[in-house]
Amino acid sequence: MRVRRLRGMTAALAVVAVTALAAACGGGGDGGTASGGGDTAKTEVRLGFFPNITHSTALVGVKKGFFAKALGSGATLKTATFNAGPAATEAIFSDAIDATYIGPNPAINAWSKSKGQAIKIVAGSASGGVYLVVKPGINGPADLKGKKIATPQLGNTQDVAIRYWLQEKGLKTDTKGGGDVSIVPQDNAQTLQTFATGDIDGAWVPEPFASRMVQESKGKILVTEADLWPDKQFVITHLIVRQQFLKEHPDLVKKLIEAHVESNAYINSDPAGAKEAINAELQDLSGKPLKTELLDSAFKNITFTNDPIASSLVTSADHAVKVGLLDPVDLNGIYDLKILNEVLAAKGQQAVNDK
Amino acid sequence: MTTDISQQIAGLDALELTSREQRGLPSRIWARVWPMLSAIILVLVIWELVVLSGWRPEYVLPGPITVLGDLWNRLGDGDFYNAVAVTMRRAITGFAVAVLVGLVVGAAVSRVRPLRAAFGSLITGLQTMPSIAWFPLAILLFKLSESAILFVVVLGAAPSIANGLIAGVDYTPPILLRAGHILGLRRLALYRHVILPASLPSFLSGLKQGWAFAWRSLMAGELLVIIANQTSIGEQLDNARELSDAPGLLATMIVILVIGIVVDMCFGAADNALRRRWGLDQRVG
Repeated sequence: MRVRRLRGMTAALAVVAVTALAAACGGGGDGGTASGGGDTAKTEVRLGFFPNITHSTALVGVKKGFFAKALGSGATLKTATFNAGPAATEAIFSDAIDATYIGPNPAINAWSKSKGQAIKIVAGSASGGVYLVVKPGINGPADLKGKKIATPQLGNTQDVAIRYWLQEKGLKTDTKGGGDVSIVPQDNAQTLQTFATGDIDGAWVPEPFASRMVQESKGKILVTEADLWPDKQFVITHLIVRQQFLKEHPDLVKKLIEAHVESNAYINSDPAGAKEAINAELQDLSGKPLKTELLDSAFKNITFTNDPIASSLVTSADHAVKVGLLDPVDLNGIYDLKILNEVLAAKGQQAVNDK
Repeated sequence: MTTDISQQIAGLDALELTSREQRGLPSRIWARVWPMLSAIILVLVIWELVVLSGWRPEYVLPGPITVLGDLWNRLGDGDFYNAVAVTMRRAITGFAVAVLVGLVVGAAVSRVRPLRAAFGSLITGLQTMPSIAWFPLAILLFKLSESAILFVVVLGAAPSIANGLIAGVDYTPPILLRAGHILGLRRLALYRHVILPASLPSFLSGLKQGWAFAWRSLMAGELLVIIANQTSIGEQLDNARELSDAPGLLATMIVILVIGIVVDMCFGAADNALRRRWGLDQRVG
């Protein structure tokens, strides 16, 4: 009898322990966000971005204080930097940040994994700046047969782009690195190294890595990805927010977007000043700025625009499905450009489209 | 009168003998399975309740049905079996090497006094050292390769195995040693026929603990050391993380847990076999 009672107590204790654990974790995880509830008493906007030239809208906006100014005294900006999309997505999912600049593919992934519940794309940021850089001897798709080409990550935007491009040229690839052209997804920093040593024959990469391969290892640009798209425009960076944050604090999102639009306007009106701000912010974040010629060459290859170029996102997702890297996904509703269009209208600029 | 005594003695004998109640196979299986089943169901129910409470959105903490569905899809995929095969190969190789190293070191340290003084506490120290602390060095020494993982797995498991053996040798009853001596056994022969069998239970629990350490080190290693184009359970876990795939994450965790339990059951079976051989298996009823 006593044994049985002991068992019962053990079970009860276990349940209590699990509940306490969950409660304790909840308390720790929510710190800072749970205070507001639904009103606008929130005092912090947590913005993520990468220390990358394709994220210049954020770099300039932070350095020049556009975000701080737009948020005013009602809220403070807290920034977080990430190395890649998956880490930023993880931060959005775990409620560690409210908004982040991110590439198209992680955004699609976050949308499909959360069944359209986690995020919304609220503005475009940058377009272009992606190249296929190869060794000098390679002059066309036919020369790529049997060669090794790097991409930043399996299934990311560039990885999909090269596979689809090769497929159109009649060359087969597979996810294990086999086929007519061997695709090796690897870190961009590693790509620079392996291209210099000759281990890979080229890479489909964004700036500033494309420019570095050209300048540091005598690479040659074989394909400019922009040439493959209508109007030479395709999304490389956009701004996403947590849906819950958007629902609870549309006013803060509006301020964020106002700063975003101002930052893009500044970049386009004063490129020299923008470049200075970018390098100053990169220096603050990573300790070393980009070389001037590298910054110049990379910067002129990227267009900074508020238009998220929705058509390119949908097409890119289609391509990913066609090369077998993505299950078909319904992207309807991934954009919420209402606030952006309000901000643009107030400035007398043309509205952007979510199709 | 005589029949009376023999009856009484027979009664005493019956006490000595284990009385095996012969039940049918289904009911015996059921007796073993129902506690496990109800424990699993309890866990699933608590899990589902936490999900239903809306503590975290469903795409961050999916419910058991979603996760088990994902697991089922995985089971139908060849990649999954490749991953399990690679991981189990690493585990078995690492564990085998660890057993060898542990045996040699344990045997040497337990019998040679200066060695014990020199290395005894070092082995215990190594045992308590978290194996993940070895990885930065291992990666420096062996690159991001299988050898780095193997190195840490062996370092994680071998001290436990050696310690198990040492403890077993220490607790060998002196009477057995004396008996062995009288029977003319010396050195290796004494080791082979008296000490090793006597330390078997402690050695076995050392092996069990060693396996637990090896399995932990291996999972840490597979998460840290991702080898290009080489799938493994740790790599699948990392992939699920990269893709923000919460169901995949939990499904992979279940796989890791199940493998751990199955291996533990194998050790349990070995333990039972040993106890039966030693006549300790006196189950009542």
